[in-house]
Amino acid sequence: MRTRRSRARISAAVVVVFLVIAVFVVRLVDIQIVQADEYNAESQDKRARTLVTYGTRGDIVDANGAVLADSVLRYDITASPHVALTRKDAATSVPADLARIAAITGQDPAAMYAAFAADPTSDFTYIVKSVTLDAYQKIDALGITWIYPTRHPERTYPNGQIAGNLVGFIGTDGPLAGLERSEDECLASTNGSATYESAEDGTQLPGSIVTTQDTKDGGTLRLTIDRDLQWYVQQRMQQAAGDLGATWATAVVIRIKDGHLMSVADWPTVDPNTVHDGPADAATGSRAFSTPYEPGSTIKALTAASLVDAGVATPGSGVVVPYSLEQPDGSSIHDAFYHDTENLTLAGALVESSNVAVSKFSDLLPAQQRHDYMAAFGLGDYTEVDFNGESSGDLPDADQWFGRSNYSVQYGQGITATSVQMASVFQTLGNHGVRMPVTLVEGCEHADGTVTDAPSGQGTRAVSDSAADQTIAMMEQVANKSGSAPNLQIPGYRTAVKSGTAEVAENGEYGNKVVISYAGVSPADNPQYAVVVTAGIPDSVYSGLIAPVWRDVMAQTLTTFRVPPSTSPAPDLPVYW
Amino acid sequence: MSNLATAHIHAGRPVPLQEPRQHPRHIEIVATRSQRRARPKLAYAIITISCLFAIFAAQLLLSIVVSDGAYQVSALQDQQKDLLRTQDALTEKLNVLDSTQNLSTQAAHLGMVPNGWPLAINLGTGAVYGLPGSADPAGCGGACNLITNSQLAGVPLVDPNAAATTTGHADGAAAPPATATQTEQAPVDSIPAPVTH
Repeated sequence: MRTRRSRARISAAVVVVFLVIAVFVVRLVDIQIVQADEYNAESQDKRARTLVTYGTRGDIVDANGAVLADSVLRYDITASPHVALTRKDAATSVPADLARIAAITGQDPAAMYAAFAADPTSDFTYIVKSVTLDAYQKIDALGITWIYPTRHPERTYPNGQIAGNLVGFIGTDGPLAGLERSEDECLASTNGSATYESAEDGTQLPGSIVTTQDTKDGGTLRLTIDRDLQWYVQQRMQQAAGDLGATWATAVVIRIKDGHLMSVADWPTVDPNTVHDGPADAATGSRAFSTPYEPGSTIKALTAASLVDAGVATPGSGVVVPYSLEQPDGSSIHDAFYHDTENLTLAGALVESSNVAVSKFSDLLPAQQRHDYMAAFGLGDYTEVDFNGESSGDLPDADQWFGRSNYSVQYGQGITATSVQMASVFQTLGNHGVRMPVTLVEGCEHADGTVTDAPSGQGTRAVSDSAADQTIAMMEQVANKSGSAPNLQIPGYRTAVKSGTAEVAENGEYGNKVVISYAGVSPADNPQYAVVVTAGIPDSVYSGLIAPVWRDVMAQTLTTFRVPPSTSPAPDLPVYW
Repeated sequence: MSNLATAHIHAGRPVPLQEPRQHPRHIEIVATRSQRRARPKLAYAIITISCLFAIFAAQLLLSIVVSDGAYQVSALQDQQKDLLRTQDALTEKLNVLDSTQNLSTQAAHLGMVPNGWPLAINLGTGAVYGLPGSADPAGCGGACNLITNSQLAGVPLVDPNAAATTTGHADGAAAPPATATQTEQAPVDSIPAPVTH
C-alpha cells in the first residue's frame, strides 16, 4: 500500500514539475521566438541611441595640392535660458559666466545677457555660433554646467579671394556656385549612422557602437590652377582694371600642350568666406566662363590661320588697303586709325590690325568654310570644362553672314566668345593647330585611391601645323613691329600676340564703349603658354594700354613654370609689299 | 572435540542475540577492491569544487579585465577623436598661414620684393637670358594686398628681429665651426651669390 501511494505522489509531482516546465518552455518560446522581434525592438528603443556620423566634404586643391576649400568643424554653444535662469544663484552667476564666455569669443557681455534673458521661458538659444575648436576648448574648460555645445561641419576657403570665382561657395541648403556646385558629385560626402547602447544616465556603454551605415567622405577635387600664379594674375588684373577705369577684367593662362587652365582670373572677384555678408549682386560667378563679349581683332589671328590652312593666302600675300571700304548696302568698313591707302601683306594686316585688309583677304574663302574654321577652334560651343553657368558664346550660321557682317565676323564683331574660349583659340595656334580639350579639373581623387573625372587629353586638329606655325610667326611681327611693341618684350623670350579693341553693342547699336584685350603665346619658337587679358569698358579705347598687363602676366607665367628662354631670333616677315 | 561438546550443550535453545557481536571478525562484508576504488574520495570533491571556484574567479577577473579594456578602448577612441580634431584645427590654421596673401605680406614685411622678369643663365656658356628689370614692378613691395583674404584677420606679422635672433642662437649653439668650414670649402668655380638683403 505504502509503495503504491508514494508512487502516485511521485507521479503527481513529476506531472506538476513537467507542467511548470512546460509553461516555462511555452513562455520561453513565446518570448525568444514568437515575439522576439517585437521585444528586441522594444529593448533596442529603450537602450539604443542612434547616432549620425558625418562624412567630410572633399577639399578643393590646386595643381600642387594647396588647399582652396576645406571642411572644418565648428561649435555652436547653446543653452536653455529657462533652466539657467531658474537656478538658485542665477542672477549673479549667469551674467558672470556669460562674461567669461564673452572674454573668449570677443562678444559684448551686456548684449549677450540681454539676448539670453530676453525670453526667460525659452528652452533653447544660441549663446555663440560657429566657434573654432580653440575657442570651444576654452569655453569647455570654464566648466559652466548649463551650456550645451553642438558640433557641425563648415566650409572655409583658406586662400580667400584667390580663385574665389572658380571655387564657388556653399549656402545653408547646399552648394550655390562655382566648382562647389558643378563638381558636387565628387565633393559631396554621405553621412552614415551608428547605434550605441546607453546606460540609465545616458552614458554611452563602451564597445556598444554598431555602425549601421558607413560614412563616405567626399573626393578631393584637384584643379589645374596654380594658386600662386592665380594670385598674381588676379592682383595684376585688379590693378589694371583700376588703372584703366574698366568695369570688369578677366585673364586666362592656358598650358598649350594639354589645354590645362593655369589661371582664370576675374575682377571683380569674391571671397567665398564672406560672400554671404556681401551685397546680393556681388560677382559670384566666373565672368571668364559665363560672359561672352565680341572679341574684336584678336580673332584676326584665327582668320589668318584659316586662310593659310585653306591655301588661299600666305604671310607674304598682299592686298591694297584703303582706310575705308564701302559696302553695297551703303555701310562701310574702316580701320581704327586713318591711313593712306597702303599695300599690306597678311602679316601686315595683323601688325596694323587692319579691318579692311582682313575683309579683303576674307573674300578669298567662302563664308561656310570660314565659319567651319571658327567652329573647329571651339567658338560657338561650350568648352569641355562645363563650368557652372558657362556660356557657349554666339557663332551665327554662315547663311546669316551677309553684307558687312560677312566681314566683321573675321575681325571679331558680330560673334561673341568668352575669355576661356579665346584662350583656347590661342592654345590651338600655339599647339601647332591641335585644339586640346579645355581642362580645369585634373581629377577627383577618392579615398580608395581611385581617380575619376580625369581629362581625356584627346585633341582635335583645327588647322595644319604649318598654318598654325606661320600664324605664330605673323603674331611675332605684331609683338615686334606694332605700336605697342616696346610694352610687349620679355627679355630672353620671343612673344607672339594679337591685340583687340571691340566695340560693345548696346540696344543694337555700337557706341563708344569697348572691350580691349591682348592674346598671345610665348616662347614663340616653342609655345608653352597662352595668355589672354581682357578689360571691359575702360576709360580709353586704346588696346595698347593693356599690352603691359599681358606682358607682366606672361612674364610671371614663364617665371612660375621655369620655361627655358628662346634660343633663336624671331623671323622677320614683310609688313608691306 | 570440544567443538562438538559445545554444540551439544547449546542444542535446543535459542541462540542469544548478542552472539554474533561476540564474533564480529568472523563474518564481515568486505568491499572488493573495485568497490573500494569506486568509492567517492574527498580529494576529488575538493579538487572539483576548488576548480569551480577557480573558474568562477577567473571568469570574474576576465570579465573585469575585458570591461576595463572596453573602457580603455573607449577612452582611447575618444582621445583619438580629440587628437584628430586638433589635427584638423591645426591643418586649418596651417592652410591659412600657407595662403599666398600671408606669405607675400610676410615676405614684404621682411623686406623682400619680387622680380618682375624671368631670368636664366646657361651654365654651359655662362650666357644670361633676360635682363634684370625693376624689382617690385607693382610698386607696392609685393604686398599690394589687392586680393584679400578674410581668413587672415588677426594673423600677426612676423618679427624680423625675433627670427634673426632665433637663427643666430641656433647657428651659434649648434655648429659654428661647421658654418666656417662650409664657407672655406665653397668651390671656387661656383656661381657667386649676389649680396642681397
